[in-house]
Amino acid sequence: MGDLLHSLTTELRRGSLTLAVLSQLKTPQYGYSLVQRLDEYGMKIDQSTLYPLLRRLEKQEVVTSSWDTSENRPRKYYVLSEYGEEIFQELKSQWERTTEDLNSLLKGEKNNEDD
Amino acid sequence: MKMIDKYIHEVTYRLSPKIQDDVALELKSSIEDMLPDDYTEEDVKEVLAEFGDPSKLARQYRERPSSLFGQQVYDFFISSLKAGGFIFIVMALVIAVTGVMAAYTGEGGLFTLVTTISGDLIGAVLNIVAHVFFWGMLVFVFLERIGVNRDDNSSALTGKPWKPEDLSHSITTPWKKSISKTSIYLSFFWTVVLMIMFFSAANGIGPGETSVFNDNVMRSLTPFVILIAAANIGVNVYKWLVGHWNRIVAIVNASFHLIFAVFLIFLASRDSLFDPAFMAYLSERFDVSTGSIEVYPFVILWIIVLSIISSDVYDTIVGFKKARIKHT
Repeated sequence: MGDLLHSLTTELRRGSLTLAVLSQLKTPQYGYSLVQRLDEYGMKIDQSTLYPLLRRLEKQEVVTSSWDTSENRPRKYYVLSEYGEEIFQELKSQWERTTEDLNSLLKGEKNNEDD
Repeated sequence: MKMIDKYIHEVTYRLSPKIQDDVALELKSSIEDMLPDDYTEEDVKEVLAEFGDPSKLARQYRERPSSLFGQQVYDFFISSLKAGGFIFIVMALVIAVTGVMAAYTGEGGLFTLVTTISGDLIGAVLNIVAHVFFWGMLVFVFLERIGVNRDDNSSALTGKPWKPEDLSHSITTPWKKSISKTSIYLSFFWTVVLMIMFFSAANGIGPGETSVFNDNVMRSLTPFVILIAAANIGVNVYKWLVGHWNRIVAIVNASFHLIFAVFLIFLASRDSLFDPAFMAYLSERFDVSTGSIEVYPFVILWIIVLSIISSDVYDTIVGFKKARIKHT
């Protein structure tokens, strides 16, 4: 059961990952700072997932990137584009709606169980 | 430091050249962010383990399922394009020069001649290139298919989960410095093609009863051609074995090109290279005076020879440049 549960859980979380990342990009963030912020909220994200995801989002014009070479370590910062803001808001309300629906479904199930 | 660079190289060499540098820089600063100020090799191993199998990471950056072969297909495609482009330019040169000659000497027949030959030649070349491209792609796609059935967690090489220690087994050559197997296959392929062309020419290929080239001259050249082909194969094998550019490889490469260039110049300087019967045939068929027709094929030949030589010179220079790239 461990393996199956693990893969199903991953599936469940994978969908919410993009939303989680977008929610933190209202202000410019770089890869590692994002990992830390998400970690504070208990969302552990794989490095091997995050960086390609950011690049994909940039390609889709949801975020824009810029290199900051002022420090001794060059860092690539990402931030939501205007288009990205719209997408984020839409996605967020979709998520809230889905969660509501799913929760009432589960509550309904619970009621059925109690019968 | 070396381990980090090796890791990054393992990831980026599988990616498209356009994003390699950017990804490398981003990964490097991210890895360094995760390390304490005075980090040890153990710290590095821990961080790299968190990043995981480099081939898996590279795969995430790509749209396609398999990373390594996707890149090679791309390389192959670009090489084919370059070869095709080169041939196209040479043809354009030939046509241009002919146009000038025709206008200058008032020999309209020359132009008909070149358009006919060009048509046939372009057709033949495109045919060959199309075949090479098609069959090559087929092979790559096949390899990609049989390679895809692998567990998500296993390393491409050993079939076991990846660990940072694996890095010591992997290539340390920067991508630009390495000699791709594809380029060696292509070189070998061209050697074979040119050999076939030479031997058909030597055996009297040509319109109707006549052969284009003088049989005696061709026969005397045959031993040299065989030697050069053997040398070419030898050079390719050596390149394969070494796998990357260094001074010696660059010198060997240059020497071969030099020998080949000398041979080409020697070949093109043979006064009696072209069979007189062929010349007469051309003269009659395209209604061009014998005077012009004696010069013209040599003009074409020299254009082709010079193009090949300049391409070889370029290749030699590139070889030396690549030899100077430092190993990481």
